[in-house]
Amino acid sequence: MKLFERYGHPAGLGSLHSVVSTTFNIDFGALEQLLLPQFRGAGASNVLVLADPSMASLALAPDAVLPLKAGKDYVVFSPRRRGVFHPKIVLQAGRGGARVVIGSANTTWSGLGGNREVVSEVLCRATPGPEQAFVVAVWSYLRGLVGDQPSPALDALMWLEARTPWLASAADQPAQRVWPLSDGTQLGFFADPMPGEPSIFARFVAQASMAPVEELVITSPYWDQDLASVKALISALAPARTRLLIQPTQRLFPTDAARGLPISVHDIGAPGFRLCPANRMRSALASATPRSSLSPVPATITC
Amino acid sequence: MPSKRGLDPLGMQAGGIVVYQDLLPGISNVTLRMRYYGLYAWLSDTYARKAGKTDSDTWRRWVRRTEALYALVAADSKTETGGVAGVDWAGKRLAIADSDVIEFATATETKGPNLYLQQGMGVFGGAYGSQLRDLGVLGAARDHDLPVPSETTGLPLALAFRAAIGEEAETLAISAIETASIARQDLIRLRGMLPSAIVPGSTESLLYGDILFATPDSKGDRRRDTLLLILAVARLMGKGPDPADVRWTLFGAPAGTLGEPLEPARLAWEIYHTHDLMQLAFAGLLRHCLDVLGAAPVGLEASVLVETAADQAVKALSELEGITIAPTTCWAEMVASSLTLNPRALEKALSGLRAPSPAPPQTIAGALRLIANVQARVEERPDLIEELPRRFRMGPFGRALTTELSFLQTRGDMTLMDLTRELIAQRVINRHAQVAAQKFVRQRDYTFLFEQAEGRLRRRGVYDPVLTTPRLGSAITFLRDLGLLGDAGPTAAGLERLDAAA
Repeated sequence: MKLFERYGHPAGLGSLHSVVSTTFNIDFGALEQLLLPQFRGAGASNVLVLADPSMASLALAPDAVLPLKAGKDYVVFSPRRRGVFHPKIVLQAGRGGARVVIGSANTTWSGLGGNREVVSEVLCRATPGPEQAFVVAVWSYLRGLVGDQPSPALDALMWLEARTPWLASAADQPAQRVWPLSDGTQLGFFADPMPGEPSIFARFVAQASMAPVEELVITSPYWDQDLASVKALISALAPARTRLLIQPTQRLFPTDAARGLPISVHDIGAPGFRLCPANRMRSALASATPRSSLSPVPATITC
Repeated sequence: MPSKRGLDPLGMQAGGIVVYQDLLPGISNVTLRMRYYGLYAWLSDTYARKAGKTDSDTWRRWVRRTEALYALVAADSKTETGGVAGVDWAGKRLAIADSDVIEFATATETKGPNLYLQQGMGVFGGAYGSQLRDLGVLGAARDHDLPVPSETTGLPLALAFRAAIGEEAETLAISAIETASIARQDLIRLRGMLPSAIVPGSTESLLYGDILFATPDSKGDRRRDTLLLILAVARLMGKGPDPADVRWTLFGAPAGTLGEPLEPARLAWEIYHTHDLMQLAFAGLLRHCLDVLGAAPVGLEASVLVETAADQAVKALSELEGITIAPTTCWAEMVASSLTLNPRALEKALSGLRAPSPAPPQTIAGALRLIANVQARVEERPDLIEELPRRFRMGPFGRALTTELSFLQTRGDMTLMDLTRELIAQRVINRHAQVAAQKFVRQRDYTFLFEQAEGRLRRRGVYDPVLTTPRLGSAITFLRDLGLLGDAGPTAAGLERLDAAA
């Protein structure tokens, strides 16, 4: 199954009437020909797409595939943020529950079907629980991106909210960013920091380093020229070992900067390479396995 | 990353494939030997008489065991391995000196290691079955789904095949199929079944001849005319031609040279080849764009790619031909100056490109020259122009010789540079994006050779331009299998066929 087909797959939650989807890069052909039919198949009639303003402008250049259904079958909105708008989240909401997919995949042809991507999927029903709390946190984040100025995007969110009554009641739960699950693992949502809040990096490190870290695995198509981020993660987590998964053919990994670091580097495209059974990864992923856990559970961050 | 030859990244090959499929029905690029047609007719009839079960599993087992047995006999002969499916497996199996009896039950299951072929229904399912149905050799039964030999063609062929191999060999073969085993020394007794063991003048041989040359319908007429053209080319050249000899001779032979009755078929093949040259040239421009992108790991804006690729192509043309391309040189002038060029040399350079080496400048220039040459050639030929619309019936999304000529002819007064930019932007880059998107939506195949991200195009793969393969290789082998064609050209029997059609 391709990633985008997942969005049309019944989640056992009934009709998912609304979708809020965020992306950095956007290709309107991929959105309209691939994603929209999937969203509709899952029951959506209210679709809001949030895209980085610069990338949305480039996607509307004269030589690009221009949107044919925008304003009619979906709404496009570009949040005003400092820096680029980079999250890739799909929230599909219905009266009976919701599905959230967070990962690295842009709304482009390659993101939806041609790349190695990493995504996490969380389902919740209309009953309280950690998964529902997670979805509500995601919803709150998305809601905050649109603001309160009247706009078609706000209309779409209000429409969603009015038809998803459990969202409002669940929003009364205590503010929290990490929730324990029944299997002993934890579910966390780290988005842009609120004023006065630590960075995503700091919050991830704080959570992942609650126990000694046995292994740190990082993969990305892009790297700092001096590998500063890698060094910072190693310094903060003090892992017993660190593996970097790279694509040598892309020639974007700074080989010189890696010399002398306590790391091993692996070609993600090598024949037979598998990190895990569902090995689909791109973008930045850092995974830290606590050393002391009886059944090691990786802590993962995608951005 | 290995290139995917035959990917059709611009959606232009499809139009040519429709043309050659129409000109050579009943033969495909994967039906490699004529005698398989008789083998399957015999197998279908024998299965009905010996097994008589209508479940597909039993039929599949018979098909797979028959094909494996055929491969063992071919490999054992050491001389006749061309076009026999599973012969690599058979050679390895025979090399294992474990027993005097060759067991092949496990190798003919559908799962497990060391299968003679992976495809479940064997080469019958992957190649021959559909052609045998198309030719009417096999038909449908009323009360089950298994193929049965037709009364008119299939049964006579089954009987002829049976008679040709003899009762003793047939009994041995059936026993081997039923038990999935055969003694090594018995393999030699089955060599009469092999592809080149068709006895000239036999009933079996005559029936194959009827299938190829005398099927009384329009499809049969088109197949016959193409086969006769191959024989005519062989006579003209005084040798057994290869597919390239045939297509270039049919492309270049003056009207009527190969016989007036065959002229409509020759013209159709000329159109096919003209179209294929055009798609090759466009694929050459695509390859050039991918090379330009490959030199920029972080990608290029689409407008920069178009500008760079067009500039390099025109510069290559200017430098290599030692001419000055004036800013005002228009496309129509380019077309006029390309008429006398030899397209075969241009084709050879483009077809010879192999990733990862970038296309050399003369090849980039050659792609433009080939497009101009094809246009000039067509514009000189009213007979071609008249026939073109009948051969290419394209929908709004389709691209073929006709659509690209229309594009070029309405831009004859554009400068060479501007026209090249438009070609690259509209007919190469945007076109590939459209084709790849359609393939992804319809087939879930991700075939994009470049991706768009952050306002830039980045290369994801490379593509080696390639001509399509129009079934001529199989057709030539069939003529050889029937003793109509040899190394020195048509045989006496082949010449008889030609003379009868004159």
